[in-house]
Order: sequence, then structure tokens, then C-alpha cells
Amino acid sequence: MDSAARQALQQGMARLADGDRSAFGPVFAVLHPLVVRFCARLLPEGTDAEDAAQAALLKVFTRAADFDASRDALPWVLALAAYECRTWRKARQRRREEAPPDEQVLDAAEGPESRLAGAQLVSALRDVLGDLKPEDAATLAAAMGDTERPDVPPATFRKRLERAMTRLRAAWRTRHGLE
Amino acid sequence: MDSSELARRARWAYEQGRLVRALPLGGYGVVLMLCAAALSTRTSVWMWVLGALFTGLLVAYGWRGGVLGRAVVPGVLGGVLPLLVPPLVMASGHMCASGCRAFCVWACVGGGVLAGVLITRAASAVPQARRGGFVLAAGVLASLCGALTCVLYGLSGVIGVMTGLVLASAPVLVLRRA
Repeated sequence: MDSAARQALQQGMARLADGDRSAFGPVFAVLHPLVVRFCARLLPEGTDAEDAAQAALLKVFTRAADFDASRDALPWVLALAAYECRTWRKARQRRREEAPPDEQVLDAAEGPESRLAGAQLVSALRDVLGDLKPEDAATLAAAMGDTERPDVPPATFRKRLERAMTRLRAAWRTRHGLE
Repeated sequence: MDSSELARRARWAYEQGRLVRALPLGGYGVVLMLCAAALSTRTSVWMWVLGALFTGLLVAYGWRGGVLGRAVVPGVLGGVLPLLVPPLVMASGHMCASGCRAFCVWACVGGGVLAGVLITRAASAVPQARRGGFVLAAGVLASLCGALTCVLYGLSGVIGVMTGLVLASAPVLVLRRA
């Protein structure tokens, strides 16, 4: 977005916050494609990105009256959009945890290079899993469907998984030096 | 969802957001109504009617925004001045019986003048082109607020508040046209 467009957005958001309804059309015309592109980068899967972009736009306009004109409009809008994308990503993760493994759809478009890279990644992951505590490894194995899930409430399992993922990331960084 | 449908929903979300944000302003109206009821020796149906209108306008001004939104605080603060006049008059020991009602009505006029002064001072921060609308909007709020107690003296009390407001704010409107 060039500086003139950014300035126009800033003025439009300030007018909307003040209650000038004539600013709605121009602001929507600028924000719609911007938020769609932004969400598509954060959520590569098509339908989730569209849904998140729509939810983000609705959130932006619901909160438009709260916009403080002394702040920069573009980061404010993108922060709301990023939060919506994060919410959609977490919801998708929860849906995957709760779905049985045989209902997960394989990507038919995967080629041999992708499968090889995936296999190498799985091998690297199993090396790192060996560095973790047994409880964390068991939690991650259950999440991946390798073993049966323990008999605990879903919220408890999610918390254990979150902690295990944090330790997994730290172990990955230690072993491989990158995320 | 196509773009026009999304735009329609976004516009609706915008108006909803503004309305939700404006609702707490109605709290000022409710609090002032209750204060007026507490400060008055007796309440009338008209006090509650004016109070409901005042509360509704506060929310409407806040939802609409712009000049109306900016008129809320000066209008309410200005209206508190005439609202306090009847209780102060009674606290001073003066009873507004039929013979000396004129004093009480003039006291409401005085409260209106003070409200008008406050509103015209606040109007100096508003762009020249919108000053008239601002003074009118704030004046309506202040009149309704002051009338919550001045209605005790009947319609003359209410007119007294409005007269005082007009007297104090007329210079702003006249100078705007000059």
C-alpha cells in the first residue's frame, strides 16, 4: 500500500470513527481486498482464509467507532485480521484433534518430492521426540493418532498438548537450530 | 458471500457497533433522572416523560456521532446547572407558592443562561460551519436536563430554561451568520 492510499485509509477510518457514514464506501473498497490478501497469506487453505477475512472485516467495522485517530489505521486493521486468522487456525486445530484419524483427508495433489520431504520431516521429528519427557512424547503421539488418547477431558488434553508443543519447539531448536 | 452482501453486513455491523458504544450514554440520563427525583419534593409524570426523551436523545446523539456526538458532554454538563436550581431554591428556604412563582421561574432562566454560556464556550472548539448545529443539539439536551426539575414550576419553568439558553447562545448563532 503506497503512502497516499495509507493516508486516505487513515482519514477514512477517522471519519468513520467520528460517525461520517459517507466514508464507509471508500474505506470498505480499500479494506476488502487488503484483508482478503492478508488472511490468504496467514491461512493458505482457501475456504478458511475467505471465512477469516469476512469475519475480520466485520470485526473491523464493528469496532470502527472505537478507532483512535491518533493511531495508525493500517496496523490496527491488520492486528484485528491477524487475531481472526489465529482464531480460525485454533478452531481448525481443534476440529482435527476431535476428528478420528481415518476422516482426515489426504492431499491428492502431493508429489514425490513433497512425500520425500514429508518423510524426512517425520524422521527428524521422531528424533526430537526422543529428547522429550515420556509424558510429552505420549501426548504428542496421541495427538498424531499413533496411540490411543488418554481418558481426560478435552480441555485437559489440549493444555497438555500445548505444553508438549512448547517443549517440542524448544527441543527442535536445540537439535536443528531453527523452527 | 459476494462483495455487495458483505458490504451490507459490514455496514450493519458498523451501525450496531456504534449503537452498542452509545448505550452507556443512556446511563447519564437514568442517573440524572434519579437525581432529579431524589432532589425534588414531588415528581410528576412529565419529569419521567422528559427524562425518557432525554435518555433516548443521549443514546441517539452518541450513535449518530459527528456534531451530535460532540454535543453530548457539554449538553449534559450545561443541563446540570438548571437542574440544580429548584433544589437550591428550596434548600435556601424559599417556597415557590403561587405568589412568588416568578422568582423560581427566573431562577430557571438564570440556570438556562449559565448552561448557554457553558455550551457557547464549548462551541469555540467546533469548526465554524458546524457551530450552529452543535449549539442547537447541546441546547436541546441541556433544556431537557434542566427541565427535569424545572418542570415542577410547570411549563413556565421549562420555557424559562430554554429562554435562558437561547439568550446565552444567540450571539454564537448571530455571529455565525454575520
